[in-house]
Amino acid sequence: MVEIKAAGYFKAMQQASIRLADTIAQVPRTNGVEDGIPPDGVVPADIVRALARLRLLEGVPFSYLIADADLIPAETIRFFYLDRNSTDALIQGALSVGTVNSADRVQLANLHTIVRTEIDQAERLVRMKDSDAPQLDAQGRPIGAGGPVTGFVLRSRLVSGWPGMHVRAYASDTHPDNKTVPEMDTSPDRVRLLRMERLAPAVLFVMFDGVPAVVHLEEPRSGIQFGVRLDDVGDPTKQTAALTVRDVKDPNKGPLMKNATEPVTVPVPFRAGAPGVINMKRLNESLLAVTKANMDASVDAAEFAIQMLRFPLRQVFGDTTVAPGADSFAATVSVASLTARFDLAREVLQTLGHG
Amino acid sequence: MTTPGFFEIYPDFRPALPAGLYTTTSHQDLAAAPPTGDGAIHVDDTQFFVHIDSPRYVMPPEQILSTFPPAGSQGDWRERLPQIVLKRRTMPWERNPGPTKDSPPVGPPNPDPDPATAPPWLALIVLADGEGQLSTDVDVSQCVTPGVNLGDDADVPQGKYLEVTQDIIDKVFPCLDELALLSHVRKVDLRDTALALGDDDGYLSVVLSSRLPQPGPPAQPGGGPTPLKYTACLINLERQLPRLLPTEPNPILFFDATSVTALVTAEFLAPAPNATIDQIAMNIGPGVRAGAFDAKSAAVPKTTAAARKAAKAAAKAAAKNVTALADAGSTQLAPYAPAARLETAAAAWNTGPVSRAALNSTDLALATGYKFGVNDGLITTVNRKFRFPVLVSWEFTCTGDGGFERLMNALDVGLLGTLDGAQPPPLPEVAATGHVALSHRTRRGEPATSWYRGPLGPQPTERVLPVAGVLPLANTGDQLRRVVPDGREDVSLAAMFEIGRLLTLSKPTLVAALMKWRRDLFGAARARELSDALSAGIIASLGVGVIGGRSSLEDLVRTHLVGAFTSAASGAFGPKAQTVTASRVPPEVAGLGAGEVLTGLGVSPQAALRATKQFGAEGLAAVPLAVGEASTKPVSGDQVAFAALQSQLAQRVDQLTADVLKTDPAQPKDTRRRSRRRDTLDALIEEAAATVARSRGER
Repeated sequence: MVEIKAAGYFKAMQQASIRLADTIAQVPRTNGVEDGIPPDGVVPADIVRALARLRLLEGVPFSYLIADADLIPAETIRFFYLDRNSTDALIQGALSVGTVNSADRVQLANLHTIVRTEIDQAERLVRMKDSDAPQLDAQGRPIGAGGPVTGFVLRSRLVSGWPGMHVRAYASDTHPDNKTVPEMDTSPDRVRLLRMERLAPAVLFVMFDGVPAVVHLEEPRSGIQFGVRLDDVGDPTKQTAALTVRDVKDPNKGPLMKNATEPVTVPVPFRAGAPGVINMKRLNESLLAVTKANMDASVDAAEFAIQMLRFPLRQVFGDTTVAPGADSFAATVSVASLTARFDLAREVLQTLGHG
Repeated sequence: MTTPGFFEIYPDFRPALPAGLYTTTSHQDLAAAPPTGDGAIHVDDTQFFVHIDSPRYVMPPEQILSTFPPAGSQGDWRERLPQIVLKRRTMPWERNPGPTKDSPPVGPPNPDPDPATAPPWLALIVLADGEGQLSTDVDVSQCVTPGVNLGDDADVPQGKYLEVTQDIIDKVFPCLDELALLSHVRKVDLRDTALALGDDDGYLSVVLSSRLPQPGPPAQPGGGPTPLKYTACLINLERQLPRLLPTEPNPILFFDATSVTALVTAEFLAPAPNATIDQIAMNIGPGVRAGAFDAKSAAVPKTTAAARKAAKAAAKAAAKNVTALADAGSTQLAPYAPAARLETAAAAWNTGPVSRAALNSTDLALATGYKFGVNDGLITTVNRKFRFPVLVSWEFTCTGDGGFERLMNALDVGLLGTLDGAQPPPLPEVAATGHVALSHRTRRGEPATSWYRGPLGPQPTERVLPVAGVLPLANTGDQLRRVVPDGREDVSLAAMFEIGRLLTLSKPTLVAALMKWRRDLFGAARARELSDALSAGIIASLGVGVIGGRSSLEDLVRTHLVGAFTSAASGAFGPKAQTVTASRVPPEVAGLGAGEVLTGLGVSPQAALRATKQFGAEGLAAVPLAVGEASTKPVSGDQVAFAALQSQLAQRVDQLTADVLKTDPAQPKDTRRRSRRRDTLDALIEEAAATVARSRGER
């Protein structure tokens, strides 16, 4: 019989536990999955991932999304709310594949709440590219289950002609429409994109994680472009064009203005008999004639290039009845302090009334 | 460093020396104080050779940063000038393009212009299909107009060339005095990925075209513009500057958008007839079945008198070789008539074979000529052609859709379900909720209309909430069919259920994952969830709560405790259990007698004895028992007793555990240890222990 050494043994075990704890704290976490869907949920991560993609309507045939092509005629943009009951039915259909007998169904029905919550959380993680979400936990995942989802279907030649169009949405209409926005905007009221896909060459499908107040569609920023502006003319045989003049000494101020609304322009001369060929020399001369443009007398390619610059266009969709900016109401006092003040006022009034 | 979001533009960046072969000669004059002679000390000249290299016939792909419009793209580029961005800032000025005027036939050649002011040697030419011809790869000596010599300094053995007529050069190419305006240098912020695209210094040279690509004219009068394909070519102008217009002709302030294709030579576009060169040359196959040639009816193109003459001569020559066949009305292939009917024949190729008045030729040279789409011998008499080396070319298509802004402004904006009044009937029946009435054949075969709304609707919906903690789960699609108040069925959710089911069934891996989940009874996961919640407290009391969660505890048990136990000797934990032979009475109760037990229960042993003697076992019920008043307080409220019991229990458990573990782990008796190789985890544990020890020591 060996002597009792229990106390020593326990001590050694405790030390081992502490060592182990320290070690495990150093070992990297096992959820090395790119999309950040946690691997230790009730539903296996693979299934959650697939169902979350299904939730974002990936692979759902187009006729199930838009039942009738007449709902999106050519050259239209149609905004929508996502019907959560519909996508839940989609998930229920997917889950039904995994059940065989009624015992399975009872078990799954009891789990359904948890399954739905886990997919709610995961659906916001599918598109991590747009990872500048306003609320993130320590692991960089958006916090909380997804709320309402909205989006739009754009059917237009814009989609086929301008691949790589920028789509941004904001929860509040507080940004000036012509504000310069970096490619990855990190404004706190930015509404994230859940999905953006071309379903057909001319059909763009976009889903937002929330209800945006303003949506920006912007021409792709594919480098710097040069050009002129063709005038709208009735007779295509007499197509004219104009060039907006900038001050080359201070080009960031925008175009030179003739008056409050009209910019200074010069007509673009063309070579006779050659449609579209610009008479660069003469155009430069007419630019030199605009004294406010501050161009040197010598012919300079750099100054000429500044005049010819064309910037990407941004189309803003929003509520046109509300004037954005200063006119809109903005609360500056928190509601709690207001309540306190009202309570005080009531007390004072009561005292006065009794007095 | 350029400010992010800003860029700078420079007119040019000229290299210290243009590209080419240079001979450097060092020459020294030495003189000495002359005791004799003239004092000069002769030193031989030394020469060495410098070759400054630059692309000449082919632009290396790594030098091309981007093109606009993008290669192969289709869009409305009517308002934008095509451009190419090159990585090397000096590229457009690296070669001297040569004199701007042709040298006189006699006398010294014109000198090259001053490198400090010479125009760029590169120009970006945008040509619609049919305005010029881009060659395949040929020897570089073929890449320039015959008679022009660029010298031996070639960067590649083979290159492409662009062959155009003088009127194309006059109409489309930039003029001499414009060249400088069309190239500039841009400096961008390297961190702006959209602009810099991995350039090394942020300086980029840009070559612009002066031509706004336009869509083709309408197919019918009054129709919309048609897409037109363009090819942009970056060409080398070296030694061919005199071909360009010296300055622009008088400008006009408008252009005719309907005459975009006026400069196109139709033959360039004409597809070859459906016959091989062999068939045409050998006069066999479909080419044989040709009609008789009527020389008089052949309309000579209205070009110059010289051309008419040449055409007539050629037509005569061709007519000799014509094989007249009886079947003149055949729809078979009509071979190319190179001399006569140039226009009509070419136009016919676009629509299909002509059926009448065709020619047949057995002349192989002519056949070759038309395989290229044009007969050189005839055309060159009309209009001289020039070749320019093409460093890079790309194609794009210009459509007449209207620019981004126009299309955006013309967009019809609405919520899904908004119908446009301008839409042609029949309009779908759309409810305010976004449901669409669709024709539906029921399972009984009756035609009906049912409501359907996909996941996208014009208004927010209320999501189904759990009922008594359980969320309803449909197991078949039919459970989700609804009948709405107007008597029709709403199959929206049922259809979504079915498509979800079918989409899942179409993915075998997902089906497998779901079935595996089912085999785990869905409940293993649920149990895990419960155990997580329960074990959180236990783990915390063990002092390992910091490591977080059940999985850590599992690791702890698996890798450490179980590992330690299994590697211990079989007898290490205590003696083997004895075979049970008889019940063992604990020593504490072994010596107790019945009387003591009864006394302990508060019964007088004598009274019990009396009662059993008199009434048997039933008599015991009549024995009076002193019963104390029970405490009304709940046991759990008695904290003192609770604590005492707990400590007693803990002591006892300790004692029992210690009894079981009667061993000294340091000295195992059994030498047949199961050894385990040190693995990474062991190393990590030791490392961590060292770290912890160190940190504790510091503290």
